[in-house]
Amino acid sequence: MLKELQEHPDIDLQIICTGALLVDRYGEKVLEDLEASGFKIQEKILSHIEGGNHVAMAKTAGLVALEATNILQKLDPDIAVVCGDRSEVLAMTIAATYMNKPVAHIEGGDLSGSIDESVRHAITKLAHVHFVTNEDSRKRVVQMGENPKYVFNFGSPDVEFASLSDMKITNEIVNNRGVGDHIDITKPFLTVIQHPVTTERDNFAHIETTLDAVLEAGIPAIWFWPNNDAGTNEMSRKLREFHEKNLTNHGIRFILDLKPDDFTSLLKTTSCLVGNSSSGIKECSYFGTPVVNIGSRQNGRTRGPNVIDVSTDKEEIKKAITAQLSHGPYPRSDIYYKPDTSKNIAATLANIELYTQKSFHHA
Amino acid sequence: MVRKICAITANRADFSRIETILEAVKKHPDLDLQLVVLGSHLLEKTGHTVQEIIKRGFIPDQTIQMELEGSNPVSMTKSVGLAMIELATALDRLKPDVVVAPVDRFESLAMGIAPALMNIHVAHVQGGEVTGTIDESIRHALTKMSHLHFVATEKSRERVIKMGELEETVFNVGCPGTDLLLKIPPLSREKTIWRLNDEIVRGDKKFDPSKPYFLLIQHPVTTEFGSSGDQIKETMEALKNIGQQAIVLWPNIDAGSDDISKILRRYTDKEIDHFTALALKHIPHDLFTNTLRNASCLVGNSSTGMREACYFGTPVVNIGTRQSGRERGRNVVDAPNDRKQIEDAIRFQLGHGAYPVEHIYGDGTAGEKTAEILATIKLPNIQKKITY
Repeated sequence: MLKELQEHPDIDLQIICTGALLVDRYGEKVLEDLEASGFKIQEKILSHIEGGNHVAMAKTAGLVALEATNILQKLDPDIAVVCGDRSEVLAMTIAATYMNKPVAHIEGGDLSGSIDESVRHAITKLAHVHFVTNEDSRKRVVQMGENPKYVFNFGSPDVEFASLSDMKITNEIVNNRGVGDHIDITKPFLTVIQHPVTTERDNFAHIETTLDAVLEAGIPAIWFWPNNDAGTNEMSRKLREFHEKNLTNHGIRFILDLKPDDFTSLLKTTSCLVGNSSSGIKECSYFGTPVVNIGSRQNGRTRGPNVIDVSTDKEEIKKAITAQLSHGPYPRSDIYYKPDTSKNIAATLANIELYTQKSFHHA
Repeated sequence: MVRKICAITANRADFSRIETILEAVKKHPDLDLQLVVLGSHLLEKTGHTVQEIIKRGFIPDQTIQMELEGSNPVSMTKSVGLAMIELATALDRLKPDVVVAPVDRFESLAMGIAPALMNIHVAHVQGGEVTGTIDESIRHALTKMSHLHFVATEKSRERVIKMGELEETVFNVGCPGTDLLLKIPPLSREKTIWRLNDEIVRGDKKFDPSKPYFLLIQHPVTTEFGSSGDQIKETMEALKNIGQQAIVLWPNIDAGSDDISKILRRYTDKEIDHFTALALKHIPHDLFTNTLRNASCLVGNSSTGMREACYFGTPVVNIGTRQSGRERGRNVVDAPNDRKQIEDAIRFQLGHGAYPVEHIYGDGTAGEKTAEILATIKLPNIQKKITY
């Protein structure tokens, strides 16, 4: 989408990066890749308060609002584009709307668990233009009192990106990153992405269960460290302790992140995605990659036939992994896919009549 | 187990929307009241109203100075960032079970976001209403961050449910502001003006107790930033043409406030062409209520005109977009920001006189009802879920 925006003759693109993207631990590669692909990042807001708990998360949001204010005043954009449901994004949205900048929100109306569920809908109620990624979400955004004239379902930019990427992930790319065992991705392997659920307390126990289930399933796994939400400390500690105790010969490689198209290719290649990442619901629906979705984080999100939902119970997780491995790939689903998602978003941003004063739309 | 209820208040107006809730919470044997005071309450220019809160018997557990100077969109935005940061620390210390976040001020959003990110239940007072300015967006965003909703009208209840909130978490208890209003003993116009002259008016110029007066409250519309000065000028010219004395309240501190104050200074605290307008900082609530009760007409864009004036039948001329869509009584006539049309509307209202009383925002028991619910309700799952 950024590429479409950059190339559009009637659009001047400005990019602000914040949150985990600027912390080595979480997103260094993504940022490098973005810059290497020719995008100029106007502003970087270093705002992530250490702590990995709820206080740190709330303060980080406050800090983003403060910093975003300065930057938006300086850049003076006509419209701010935000995506998703992270608390940093809510803070950016508040800064923009308080300063009378119209906000376009991508991925509103989805359902999930965690604090994301509240944050996403709050952003919807502040935003002026809505680029939803599926039909269910479009209906929900309209029902919340948004004017249908400003709600567009062009499909998911993530899934569009996944559909266009022709990168081939290799053993070399994967094994040059991270720690743990060498994984041969030409043979069956799992990919595990499990983030904290901020509204629950037992994140430590949950990742422990998943770890045990994956080990007992007895198939190699590439495991991504959790994101920076509250609860991340306990989860990382569990993984770190496990790694320090065993070092190798456990069949798991722990990595921080991959470049976006390497990541996409990994999702396409892996035998099964395990955990609670939205990429299991979105990108994997398009690839038909089998997914074992654990716990409440993705509750309610529209999903394809490739997903088996399980609780945080070890046996259930193990059984589902076995079932998915013997099932193999599913047919492609287009619930989140439409061609030309980004082109349509760019064209809309270039032409749409902007407004600042919102009013509750009574359908 | 006693439940800890932490109320947060940012200014005079939002305090009046929760004061009777605080009273009832304080009295309730199963509830423990905590109070965080921030925003305008701590500023001289808005009357340092934290003192009034203390005088009424509520001792803040924490005060937070967070309001940046500037009264523009930038300072307003940064202030909310600061509020969020400071509230995270305060709530971590106070560890309440429920945070009570009032209405739709720019600070209010921080009052909802900080606790919600910290897994503390948020009870929002007066969601679901419809207005103009950035308040409109803030109010609904706050609804989507909150777990319990104490609304003031039936239409608000319907709107909150329509936005996907669980029906069993939405309570139409009426407006706590109405509770206060109905408790205050009435004063005659003459007595009201004497007290104003005695207690509030600072300079030599005083109001004439034998004559009727306008009450003017006009705040900036943040989404029309840059026009606030012109808008108040239209209003002041209309008032000057009619010539009746005017009690003017300084605007709140939203973006655009300084522009209004600048124009107000030109018209107030002197007599121009037989027109006397005096600008007052802060009138204590009981006296303010009687000032409203006895006004010949309330002019401006304050929610007071929509919510409170109907209980006295005071005629209201509501100017511009700030209150657009809010439920109102028959006593309200709308006018755009145009001096001629404002003047016509005021003259119409003066000709009409007082309206029959209407009870739109509750029956005066909102505080008690809210406290009882806070004490007895099984708190909903901290994990929110839209209903559709």
